[in-house]
Amino acid sequence: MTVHLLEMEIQEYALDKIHCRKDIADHIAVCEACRMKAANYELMFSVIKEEPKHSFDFDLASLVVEQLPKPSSVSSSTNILLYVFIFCFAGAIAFVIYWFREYLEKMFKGILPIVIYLMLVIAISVLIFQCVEIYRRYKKQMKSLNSF
Amino acid sequence: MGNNLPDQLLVESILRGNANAFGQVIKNTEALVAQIVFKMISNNEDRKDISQDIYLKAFNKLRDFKFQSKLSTWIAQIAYNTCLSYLERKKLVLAGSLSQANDWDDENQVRSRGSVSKENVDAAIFIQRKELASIMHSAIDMLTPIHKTLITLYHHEELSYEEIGQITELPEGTLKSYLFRARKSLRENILAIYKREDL
Repeated sequence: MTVHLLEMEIQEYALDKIHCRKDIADHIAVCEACRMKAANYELMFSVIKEEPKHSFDFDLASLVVEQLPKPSSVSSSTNILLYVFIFCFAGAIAFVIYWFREYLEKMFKGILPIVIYLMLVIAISVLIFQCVEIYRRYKKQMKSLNSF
Repeated sequence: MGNNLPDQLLVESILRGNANAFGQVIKNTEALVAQIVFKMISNNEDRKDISQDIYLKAFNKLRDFKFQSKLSTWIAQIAYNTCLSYLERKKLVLAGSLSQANDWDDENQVRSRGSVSKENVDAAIFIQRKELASIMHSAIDMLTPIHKTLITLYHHEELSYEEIGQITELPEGTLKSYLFRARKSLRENILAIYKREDL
C-alpha cells in the first residue's frame, strides 16, 4: 500500500511547487494520485483568480461624502497658531543675528566680497529651485485631489 | 486604483476638511471593500447600508490611523469587522467555521493509504478548466462567509498573509489553518457539484 501525501502538503506543493520541500516534490513525481490532486488544486487556484470582481452598483463615494459632517472652524484656529509660530521663529532668528552681530561681522571680514556674493547666489538659487519644486508638487497633488 | 496620491497626503487633506479627498479614498479602496462585503453579506440592500457604514466609521476614526499599515488595509479591517458584527447580530456566523480550524493539526497526522482511500477516488477525477469555471461560483458560495472572504483575499486579491492578518486580526498560524480548511472545503464542494451534475 502506498502512503500518500497529507492534504496540507499537496496544498503546499500546489501553491508553490518551486519552493516546496524536496520530499513532497519527489513523491509527486512518482505518485499519480497525489499529482492529480495537486493539479486539481492548481487549476482551482487559477480559476479563482479569473472569477469576475464584485463592484457596487451605486456611487458609494457620493453617497458617503454627502453624509460627512461639515468642516468645523478648527482649521482657522490652527492657521492662527501657525502664524504665531512663524512670527516667534522669525523673531528668534532676528534676535540671534542681532546678539551675535559682532561675531558675524568678524567671521565674514577675512573673506573676499566676490566669494560672499558667489555663496549668496548659490544659496539663493538652490532655495528658489527647492521652493519652485515644492510648489509644483503641491499644485499637482491639489489638482489630483480636486479632479473627481 | 486610478490615483496614486500617498495615503499621508490624503489623510492630512481629509483632516483639514477636504471631503473630496475622502471621496478619493473611497474610490481607491472600494474594490477591496466590495470583495469583503460581497463575500460576507448576501442581502443586496444590507450591502448598501453596510458599505456606507464602513466608510462613515473610517471617517470618524481617521484621526486614530497611525500609518502602521496601508490605508486600504486599515479600511478593509473596518469592513471585515463591520460585516462580522452584522453576521453576529443576525446570528449568521457558522460556529463550525471557527471550531473546524482546530481540526487542522489532528487531520494532518493521518496520512491516506493508497487504493482504499475515498480521497484517491476523488483525486482521480480531473475536472476540465471550462467545467470548473462554470461551477466555481456556486462552490465558493457554499463556503462559510469567513472562508469565502479568506479565499478571495488570498487567491483573488493576492494579498499576503501579513495583510490578511492585519485585516482579520488573526495570527498567521490561525489564518493558515483557516485557509487550509477553506481550500479543502472548496475542493470538496467542487467535487460534490461535479458529481451531482455528472449523474
